[in-house]
Amino acid sequence: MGSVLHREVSSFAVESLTDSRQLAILKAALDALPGHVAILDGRGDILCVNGRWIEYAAQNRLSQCNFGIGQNYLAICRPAVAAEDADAQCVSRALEDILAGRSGREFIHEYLCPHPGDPSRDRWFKLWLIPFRLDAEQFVLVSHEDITVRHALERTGKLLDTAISQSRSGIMITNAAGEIEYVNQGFEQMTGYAAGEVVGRNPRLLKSGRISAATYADLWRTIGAGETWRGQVCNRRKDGEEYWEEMTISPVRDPAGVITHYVAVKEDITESRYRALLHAGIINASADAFVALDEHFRIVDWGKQAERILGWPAKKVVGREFIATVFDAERAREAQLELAVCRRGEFSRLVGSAHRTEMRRQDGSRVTVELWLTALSLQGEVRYAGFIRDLTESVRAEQILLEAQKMEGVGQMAGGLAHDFNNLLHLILGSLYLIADEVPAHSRSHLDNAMSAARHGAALVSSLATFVRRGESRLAERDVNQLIRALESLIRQTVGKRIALSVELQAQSSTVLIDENAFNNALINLAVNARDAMPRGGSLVIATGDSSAGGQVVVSVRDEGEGMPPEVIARATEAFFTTKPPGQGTGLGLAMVDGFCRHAGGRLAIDSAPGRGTAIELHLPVVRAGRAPGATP
Amino acid sequence: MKRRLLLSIDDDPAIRKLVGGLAERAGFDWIEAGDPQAIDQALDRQPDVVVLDLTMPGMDGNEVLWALKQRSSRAAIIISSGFIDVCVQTAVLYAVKAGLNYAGRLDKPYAPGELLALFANIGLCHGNRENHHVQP
Repeated sequence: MGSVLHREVSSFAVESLTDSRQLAILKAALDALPGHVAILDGRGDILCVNGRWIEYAAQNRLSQCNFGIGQNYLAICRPAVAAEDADAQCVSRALEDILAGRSGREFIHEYLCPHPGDPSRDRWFKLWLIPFRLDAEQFVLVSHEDITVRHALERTGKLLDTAISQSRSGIMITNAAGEIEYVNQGFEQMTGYAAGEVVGRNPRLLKSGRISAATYADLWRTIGAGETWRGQVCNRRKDGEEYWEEMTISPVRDPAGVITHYVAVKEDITESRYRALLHAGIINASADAFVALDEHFRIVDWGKQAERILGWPAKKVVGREFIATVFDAERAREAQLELAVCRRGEFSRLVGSAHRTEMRRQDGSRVTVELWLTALSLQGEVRYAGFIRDLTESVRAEQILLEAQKMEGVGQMAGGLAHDFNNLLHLILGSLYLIADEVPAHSRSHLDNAMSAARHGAALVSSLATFVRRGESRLAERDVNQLIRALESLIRQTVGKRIALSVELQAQSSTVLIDENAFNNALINLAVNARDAMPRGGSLVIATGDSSAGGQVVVSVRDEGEGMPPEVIARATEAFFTTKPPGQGTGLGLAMVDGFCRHAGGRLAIDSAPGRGTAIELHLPVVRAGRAPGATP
Repeated sequence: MKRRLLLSIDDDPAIRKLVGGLAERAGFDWIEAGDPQAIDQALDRQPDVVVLDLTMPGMDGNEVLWALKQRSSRAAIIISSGFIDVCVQTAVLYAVKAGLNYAGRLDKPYAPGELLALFANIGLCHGNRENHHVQP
């Protein structure tokens, strides 16, 4: 290089110029070079520097550090070399090699010159060491060129290159004629086509045929007008499978404003599109009302069912505060407190658990619902989503059941009394009859009075019986397996989602003589008890089996609840005995079930212990035994 | 001729004795039982008539029927109950379907004459002593 420079300088050294003129030109040319240039002699001493060198030294207050002529370049480098500066070591070694005649080649090195205290003012330099000889004497031209800008561009270019080629998004670049010029790895993965298979072809090879011509027309109109088009299209992979992508196409113009290329960025949205459709489907198909709330509990989404249950049309409630909208003042206060608890990250009934509550409709009427909200963390922001279930029907059913239980309880009590009275009257009448022979004739009228009074008592009991027997049950042959199967869905609804109901009908002989309604009531009663015993959910098993002795079918309802201690078991079938809080049970449920069993000629058995759950067994005599030894001929 | 044997089953001893007293009038020998063990032993004596109260605490009248069925008993069975014992209907059906010798049912309080009439109906009555008494 040194010799080249020399030749070039020589070449314009025309005869007419004097030596001093030539020197002046060379000096000016040296000053005009882009780098900071110094020329060293064979020992490394700086012979001369150009204007930029001096300028740079002045700007960086290095002029005081003897960067001037006459200093030895190696000596200048020495402190940095001693400080184990890798760049300085590398340059020093190269210069030493040149000066010692071990290398005659030019040496290039790029290095970073950090700015003390301000990294944004760091500079990149390209250093040249160019050895040259003049009359057998060794010289070295040292040039430091500031390449900070170019270096940054190169780095950015490399980064962009890597980013584009390795991006998971599909990137496709076509020329103005629509021929593919470039596709990245993301495109290859998304479409199944290798770059080599598509470069030079038209992107229409991806078309699935599902997108209307109008969409494509809109696309071409938009990008043809120099604007960016964004939309969702369904394309076809190389293997024939369809997928959905969200595509952004932007035109690229040359400096004259002419469109030369189109850049398309594609995201595969098949999965998210499917998920969105699925979510919409679930929300629409659900009998429950979907709601979504923002972090301030304002309504964001209000499903069709919510409109039906609460009367508020979506367009009127979206944006409103949820609690104030659906609760009356008192409940709203409670809900706000619970929300505050939830925001502290503690357990709250309002969020994260299903609970029964009363809401206010748009028209001011009340509706009993089950509200189930869950908190979602979305990009650091909390959102809430959940369902509102209309409990109107089940509340009505529960009330009817409760009333029926009360009535049955009263009837049962009256029945029990009548039974005892009948036994007493029977004993009185029978005994009077047996002693009648021995009663003297003159006392006979007293005996007759006593008998008449007892018979009168029997008549009173009988009229009580008429009351109690009102709506007397109808016994009929029924298959308990079939009855349970028919009741299964009702029970499932009654016990709710938290209870995993399983029905195991294993009885071979399952035909019994029972009152079907009473059986259904008994079974629902037991299921409700089981549900109430498992407030946090659990499994409920309704099973049938043949009794070990034969002749009976055993219908069992087993829960995983707390179980009962012996003293509770002993009183469980007693009328008006209950362990439930006031207002939640009549204490008649099990008494009724027990009455049903006795009615059907069977009995009720309880298998329970604290911590072991409870199984209630109904032992009912079968009337048509399948395999049992007591089979009817 | 050997006197017929009647088994009176009831949890109330007074009722058992009352039935026994009526049985005596009708010319029966009688035994009584008020708990499962006693019933089991009494059935071993192969009574000709069983008067059974279905409603007994801690016991199931239907189990008695089942035990009779297992012993292939030919005893005439009279089912008695307090009026609320709706299970009588089931028991009767069961007894009939099981091929037992169901003789009739009596709801308490029944007139002693009704029981004696039943005995007569099923041809088990040796005397006609019931006619000597005033019917209540």
